[in-house]
Amino acid sequence: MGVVPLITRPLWVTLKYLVRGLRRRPATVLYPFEKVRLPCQWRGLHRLDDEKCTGCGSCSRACPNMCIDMVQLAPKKKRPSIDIGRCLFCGYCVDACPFDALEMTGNYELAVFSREELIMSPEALTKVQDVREGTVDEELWKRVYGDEPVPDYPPLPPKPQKGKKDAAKKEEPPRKDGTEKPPECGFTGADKAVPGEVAK
Amino acid sequence: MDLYSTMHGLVSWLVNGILGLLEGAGMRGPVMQLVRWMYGALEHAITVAVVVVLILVIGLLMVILMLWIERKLIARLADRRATMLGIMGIGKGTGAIQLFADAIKLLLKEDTTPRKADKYIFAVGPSILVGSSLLVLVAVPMSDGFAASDLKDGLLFAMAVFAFAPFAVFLSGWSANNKYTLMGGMRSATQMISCEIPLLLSIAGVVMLAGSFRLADIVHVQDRTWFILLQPVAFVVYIVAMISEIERIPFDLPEAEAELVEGWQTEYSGMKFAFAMMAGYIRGYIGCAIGVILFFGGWSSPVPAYTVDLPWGGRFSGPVPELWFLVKVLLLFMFLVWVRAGLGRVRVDQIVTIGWKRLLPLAMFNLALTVALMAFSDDIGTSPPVAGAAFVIPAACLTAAFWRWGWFR
Amino acid sequence: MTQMWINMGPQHPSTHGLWDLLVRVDGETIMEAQTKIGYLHRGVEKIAENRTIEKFLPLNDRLCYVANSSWTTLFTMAVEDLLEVTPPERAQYIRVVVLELQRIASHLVWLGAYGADMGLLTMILWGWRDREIILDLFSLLTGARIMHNFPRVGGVRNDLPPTFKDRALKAMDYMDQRIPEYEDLCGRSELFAMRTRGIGVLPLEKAISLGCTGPMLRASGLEQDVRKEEPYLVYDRLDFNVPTGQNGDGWDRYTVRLEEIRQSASLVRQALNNMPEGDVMAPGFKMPKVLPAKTIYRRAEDPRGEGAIYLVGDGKTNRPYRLKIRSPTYVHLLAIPFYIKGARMSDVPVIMGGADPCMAEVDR
Repeated sequence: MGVVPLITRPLWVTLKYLVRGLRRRPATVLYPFEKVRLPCQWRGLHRLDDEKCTGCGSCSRACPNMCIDMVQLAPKKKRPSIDIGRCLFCGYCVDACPFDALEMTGNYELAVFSREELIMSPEALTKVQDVREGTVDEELWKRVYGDEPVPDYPPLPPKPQKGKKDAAKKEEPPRKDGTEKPPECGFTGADKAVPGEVAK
Repeated sequence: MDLYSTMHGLVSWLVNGILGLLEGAGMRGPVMQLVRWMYGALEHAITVAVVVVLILVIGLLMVILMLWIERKLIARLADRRATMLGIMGIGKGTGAIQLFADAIKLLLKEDTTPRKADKYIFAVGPSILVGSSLLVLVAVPMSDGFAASDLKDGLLFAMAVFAFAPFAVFLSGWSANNKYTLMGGMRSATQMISCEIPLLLSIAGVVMLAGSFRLADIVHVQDRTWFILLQPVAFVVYIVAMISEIERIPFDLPEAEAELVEGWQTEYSGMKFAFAMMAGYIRGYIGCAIGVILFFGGWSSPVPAYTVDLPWGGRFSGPVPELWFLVKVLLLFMFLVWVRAGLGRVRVDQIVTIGWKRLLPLAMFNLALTVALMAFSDDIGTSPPVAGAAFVIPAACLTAAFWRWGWFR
Repeated sequence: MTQMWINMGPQHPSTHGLWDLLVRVDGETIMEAQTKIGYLHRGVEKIAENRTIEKFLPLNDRLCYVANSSWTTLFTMAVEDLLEVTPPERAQYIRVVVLELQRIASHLVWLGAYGADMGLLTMILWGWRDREIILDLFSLLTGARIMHNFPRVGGVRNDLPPTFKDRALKAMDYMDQRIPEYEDLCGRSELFAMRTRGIGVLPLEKAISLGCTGPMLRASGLEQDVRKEEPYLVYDRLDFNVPTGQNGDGWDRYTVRLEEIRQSASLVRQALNNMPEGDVMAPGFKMPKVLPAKTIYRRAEDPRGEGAIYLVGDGKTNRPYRLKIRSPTYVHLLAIPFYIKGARMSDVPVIMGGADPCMAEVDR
C-alpha cells in the first residue's frame, strides 16, 4: 500500500469536477440573478384575502408566539395584523383559518430598515404580491432527476369544505393585482387537527 | 528584450528632451552646467529606479493575477463558481472587481494594535515580510535581459533572502501578546526550519549540473533537456519543500483556521493584514518562478525564433520569452492550487517528520546520484545513456519506496 | 516551557457552535481540559411548562438546527404515549422517511465540517451541495427547508405531494453516486488518514461508563442502536445494518457515519416503496382539555446518539408539568476532557468534530 495512490485519489476526483464543469454548469445558483423555484407549499409571507376573512380570530388564537393582533378597522370589521419580527412562519394560522382567508406566499426577502415596518397591517397584508418568480435551472435539475421534466407542481385535490361556506366553489374573479392565482396545494382530504382547538 | 538598455534609451531620450527644452527656454547658468556634468550618472540613476519600479509593478500584477486564478480554479475544482461580479456590466462573469474591492476594503480598515503588544515589532513584522519577499523579485529574471539585476550568484541571493521571512513571522507572532499568535509563530518557525534544508539541497543538484548560480546560465544549460527529466527526485523535494515554505495547504499550519483563529495573523487588520496576504502570494510567485527556471527550462519556448514585419514599419522578433515564462509560472501555480483543493492539512509533528526524515534523505540521495552520474560525463544532457540513467534510476527507486514499502507514512 | 491555559471558544471558527473548551497545554500537548457550555441556553424546558402541547411543537424544531424533525417526532411520540394515541400506518411511514432524510442531511453537515476542520476545503462544499437536494425535498413536503413543523400529535401535517416519491427515489440514487466521491476525497486520502487514525481514542469501557451513545459508541465497537433495541414507528419492519468501528478514533467515527448515510438511503427507499395507503392523522382525535397524570420516558435514535424525552403530565391542566430533554451531545461534550489527554493542539478540531456538536440541543 503505497502513498502515491492515496495522495492522488483526491486530486483525481477534484480534477474530474474541473473537467465536468467545462461541459455542464456547476452547482451554483447565482443569487440574486437566478433564484430557485419554490414549491407551492412554501411558507413565506402571509397574504390576507379581505373578502373571505370574517374576523373570527382563529389565527390569533392559534399563533404560538402571539404575533397576530386583531385590529378593529371599522365597526364590525376586524382583521389580523401580523408582526413578522416575532413570527416563526410555522403555518399554524393558515391551518387554523376556517375560511381560507390567510395563505402563505413565496416571499422570503423581507428585510426592512426599521422594526416598526415589520408589523404588517391588514391593508399591507392584502396587498402582498406573490413574487414566486424563481426558476430552477434545467441543468441543475438534470444532475439529480435525470430526464424528469421540470415540474409545474400540479394541484392537489381540494380540501373538504366546512359546513359554513358554500358547497360549490364560485368562479374566482380576476385578482386586483393582476397576478395569477398559484395552484392549489392543500391537504389531501384527511381531517387535520386544528391547533388550539380543544375537544368539547 | 533587454530591459535595462530599453529603459536607458527611453530615459535618456526623455532627460535629453527636458534638458534641451529648459536650455532652449533660456535657463543657462551654473545649475544647468552642473546638471549637464552629472548627465551620465543622472541617466543611470533614473533608469535603475524605473527598472526596479517596473519589475515590482509586474510582480504585484502577477500577484493579483494569481489571486484571481486561485479563486476561480479552486471553485471549479469544488464544483462551484467563484466570484463573478463585474462593475456596471464591465467584466461581468469574471469577478475581477472583487480583487480591487478587497484591496480598497483593506486600505480603509482601522488599524488596531493590542494594548500590551510590543508596538514597534508588531508594526514592523509584516513590513519585513513583504520587504524581504519583494527584494527577491529583483534577482529573479523573466528572460535574458528582462531583469532588474543580473547577479552572478542570483540563486544564492534569492534563496538567502527568501529564508528571511520566517524570522518576520516569528516576530509578528511573538509581539502580539496573544496565545494563538504565539503558537502560530512557533509553528511557523518549526515548519520553515525543517523544510529549509531539503529545499537548498534539492537545488544543489541543479546547480552542479549547470555549473553556476546565475539563473540565466541555468536556463541556457537546459537548452536540450529540461532538468525535470534529469532530476525528478529534486523536483519532488523542491515542490514539497516550497509548498511548505510558502505556507499553503497542505502545510498551512501557521495560519490554520480551525485551530488557531488565523494563527500568527490573528491580530493584524487593515493594511498589515494585506501585507501578510500579499507576502504569501509574492512568495508563491517567487517559488513557482524559481521552480520553472530550475526545472522547466525557464523562458525557453517550443516555437523557434521568428520575425514578423509590422504594418507600420519595423520588425517584431519573437518568440516573446517573457510571456512563455509567465505562462509556465502560472501553470505551475495552477498545480499548487489543485493540491490545495484536494488535500487536507498536516499536523506539525508530521511536517517535522516529513522534513527531516523523508525529504532530507531524498535530497541527499539525489545529490549523491548526480555526483555519481557526472563522473561519467561532463554534460549529462548530451549523452543519452547517462541522461536515461539519471531519469530511470531515481524513478525506479521512488516508485519502489512509495509503492512497496509505504515509506512516506 | 510553562504550561498555559488556552481558551478555545466561545468565538472560534472550529467549535461548531457556542461552547468553550479550556485546555492546559505544554507546548503542543494537552494536559487537562475543561468544558464550559451554556452560552445558548434559552430555557426551553421551562417554556414548555407554560405552553400547551400544540403551541410548543414549533419550538421542538429549534432544539437542533441541523436535525429538526427528529426532535419534533420524538416529542410527538412522547405525547402520543401520554395520551395513548396511535398514528395510522401511513403517518408512521412518512415519519420514518422524514427521519432518515434528516439523518442523511445531518451527517452531510457533519462530514463537511469535519473535512473543513482539517483543511479539506472541498468537502464542505460538496456536503452542503448535496444537502441542498434533501432540503429541496423537505420544502416540497413540508413547506420549509429547515424548520419543518411537520409532525403533529396523532400523525403528520399533510400527505406526500404526488411528485415526492419519484423525486425522493431519484435523490437517493444521486446520494449513492456521491458516496464513493466522498470516499475518494476523504477516505482514500493519505492526509486524512494521517490526521484521524489514532486520534481521540475512546476505549469501549470508557465510552460505556461515560454514557456515550450513537455513532460515538458504535465507533468504539459496540453495536447498539435504539432502532433495533426498542423499535419505534415501523423500524421493526424495515431491514438495515448498524455499522460499527473498532478503535473509537476519528477514523472510525468517519466510517461509521458514512456507512449510516448509505443505510439511511436504503431505508428511505424501503419506506417509500412499502408505504400503505390511508389517513395521515388519527381519525377523530382531538387534544384533550387535561393531560393525564402520567410519566413518560421515550427514547429515539437521533443522528447524534440517543435522545430522550421525559414528560410528566399532571391531571389538572393541559400543559406539561415537567419536560426534560436528554440530549446525547451534552454527554459527549462533557466526556471530551476524559479522553483528550495527551492529544495535541492540532487534534482538538478532530476530536471536537468527532463528537458532532449541535449546541442548540446541548444548552436547550
